[in-house]
Amino acid sequence: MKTILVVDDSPDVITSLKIGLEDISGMYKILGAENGQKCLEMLKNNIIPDIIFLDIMMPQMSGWEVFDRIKENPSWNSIPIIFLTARTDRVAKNAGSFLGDDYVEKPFNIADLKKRIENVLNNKNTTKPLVDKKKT
Amino acid sequence: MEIPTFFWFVLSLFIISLSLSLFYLFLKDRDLRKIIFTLGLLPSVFTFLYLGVKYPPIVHPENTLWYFLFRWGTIPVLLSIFVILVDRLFYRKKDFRLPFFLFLFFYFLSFILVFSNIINQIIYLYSLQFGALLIIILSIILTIKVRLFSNLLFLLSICCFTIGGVAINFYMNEPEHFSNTAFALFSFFLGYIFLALIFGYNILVRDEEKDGLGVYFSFEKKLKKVEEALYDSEQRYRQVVENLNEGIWVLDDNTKTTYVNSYITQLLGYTTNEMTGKHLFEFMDGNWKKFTEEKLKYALDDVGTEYEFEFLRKNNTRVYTSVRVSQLLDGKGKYIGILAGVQDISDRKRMQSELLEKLDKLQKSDLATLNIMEDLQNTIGALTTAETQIREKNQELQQINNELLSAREELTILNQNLEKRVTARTADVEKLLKQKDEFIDQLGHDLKTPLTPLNVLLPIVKEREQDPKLKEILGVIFNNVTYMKNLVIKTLTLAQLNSPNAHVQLKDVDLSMQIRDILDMEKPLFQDKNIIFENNIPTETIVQGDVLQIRELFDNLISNSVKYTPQDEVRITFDAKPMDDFIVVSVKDTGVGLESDQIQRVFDEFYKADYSRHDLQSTGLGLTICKRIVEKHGGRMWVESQGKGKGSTFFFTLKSHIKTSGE
Repeated sequence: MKTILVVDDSPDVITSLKIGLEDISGMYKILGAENGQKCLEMLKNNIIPDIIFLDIMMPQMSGWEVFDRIKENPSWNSIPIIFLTARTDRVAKNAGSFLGDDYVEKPFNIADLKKRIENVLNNKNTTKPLVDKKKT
Repeated sequence: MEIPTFFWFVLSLFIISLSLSLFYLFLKDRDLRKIIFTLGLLPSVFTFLYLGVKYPPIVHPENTLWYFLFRWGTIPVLLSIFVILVDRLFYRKKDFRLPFFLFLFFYFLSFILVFSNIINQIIYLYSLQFGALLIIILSIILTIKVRLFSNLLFLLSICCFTIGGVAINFYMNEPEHFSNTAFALFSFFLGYIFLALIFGYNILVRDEEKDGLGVYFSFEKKLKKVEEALYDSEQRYRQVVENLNEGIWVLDDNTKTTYVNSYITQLLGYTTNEMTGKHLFEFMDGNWKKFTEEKLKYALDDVGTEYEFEFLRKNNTRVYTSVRVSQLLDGKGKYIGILAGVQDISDRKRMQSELLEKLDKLQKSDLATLNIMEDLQNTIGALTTAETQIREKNQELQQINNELLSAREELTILNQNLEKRVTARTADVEKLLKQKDEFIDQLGHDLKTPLTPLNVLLPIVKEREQDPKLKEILGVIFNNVTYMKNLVIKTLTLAQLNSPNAHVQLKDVDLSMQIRDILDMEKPLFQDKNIIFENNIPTETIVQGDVLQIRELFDNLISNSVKYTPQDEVRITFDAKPMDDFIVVSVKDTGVGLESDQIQRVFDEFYKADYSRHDLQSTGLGLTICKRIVEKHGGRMWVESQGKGKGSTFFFTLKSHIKTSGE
């Protein structure tokens, strides 16, 4: 069973993913972090998920910052990251698709999300790309 | 020695001393008149010496040198006196060389004539008498004309000489009568004493200004001084007149120019010589000639009348002047011409006409200034009636100018205020628009997050629910959530397209390929309808566009066509044709079609063709987004439809790929 860490400042989003992906399908285990710090703490505590869902617009520490920290750390930087974003502008779209492994626009639906998770996991298993396209 | 001989010798000595005195005077001032007298008087010494030596005289003398000298000696005296008299009466020039040389000519001519013995005694005597008479007449005239004591003395001395001459004649014929000798001697003595008085005074008394005995020669000097003084004073006046800041124009009684000062010559562009002698009319044209002719009649009666004339310059341009005319009279009050004072008033005239022009312009241009205009016009009216008072008028003109200026300033200030207000208002509007966009953006994003759990959880709940009634209710709720979701997404898209900061990123886009991709992706979304896509777009139709936006554009068009086709079967045809630098793309459907009034409004925000506001499929923003995308790409979008139920065709243009651009 794959573990998914959802980083989002809205607990309802975490809950609905938990229901949709963990309870209903039973294929994934959902972990939640309400902000960037919590996410990084969990990683430091050696809780390494298979995929991270990362919200961009969060108070205090933005998704970009969290992304940078994860990618800076060699033991974490192979974790695939899917951006969850409410932003529709070009920056978000480009960053989501080029920087991360994928991006999903809110509000999403479970079916679409599942498809993307599968994609990312498959890619990771076959090619294991070292995502390091980060541009400062 | 006989007594007469002695006296003749004394007289000779007297004449010699007188001649030498005159020669001395000549040396002092180099006046040729004096040397004439010296030369004229000296030969008479021969005559008197002869008379003294040959006493008693020889009645029929032999032709000796003495005798010829005796006869010639009297002629130079007459000649010199004649020349001087003619000079005093008629010649009166400073330069005396011409009379002097004529004198010398006749001096020697007479000498030759006497010595060659051509003339006999009778002709000689008659000539002498005629000459004496002529001199007396001239002298009388001079004395009458110039009533100086010296001229009277001169006349007297000439009379004495004449009488002396006559007496000698008697004495020559009847030498035995002593009375003849005495009378001749007495006359000559008296004549020379008078002459000596005239000249001697000049040597002894230096006061040349006085009208006295010595005035004869000093008179010339005095005259010269007076002339010089006159000349100086004339020069002074001329200078004053020349430098006057007013034109002075003197015309004679035939209205011909006798004098113009430099103001006039500069004003009209002629030289003084070009103007002198020309008639006044030569400096004006037709109408003004008539006017002037009329005015000249009155000018002779009026003094100091002022007129306005237009003169013609040498270069044929016109100049407007104010002319003050007064008549010129000679010493006896006889009319001899016109004196005209001329002032250039073209500046004033121009100012006036410019002002009128400005007023006219203002009147035409701005209704707001009408009140000021009327005031100004009244003032102008008052102005034109007050033509004669130039100073006053000028001041008023100045005042009006100031008023105009202040009026203009007011206008400028008003304009500036208006501009400021417009700018401020525009900024306000822009700020509000920006705020609106920001608000929509914020609201959209804020709505998306709470929509996420709804969107995720509702299908799960609906699926799990066993009760069909509840299941139906959940379906309705989910549809509304979906509508809300679409609305939020489309609104955000439109807000971004409206934002001036959003720029399209142009890249080469293969239209045919994009359509195929979209169709592949979209097909599952329209599963409940049988949709037939017909893609007639030629392969490798490349346009310049933003891939994401072009996909959005087709997405919207396709879903629009599907939505507005009530039948189960939907046929959508894509086509593209090049036109100039553009590709015209058409998307044709077999749907409900559009009425003509709908065609105009179909691209409006939130416009829905069927007015069914409860239709959860349509947000009313799709086509607006399409049009906005096309416009952002620099293209045009329109729709054609044959009418209700006949389907519609959407057209839009996109810039075609330019091969030469080096891509």
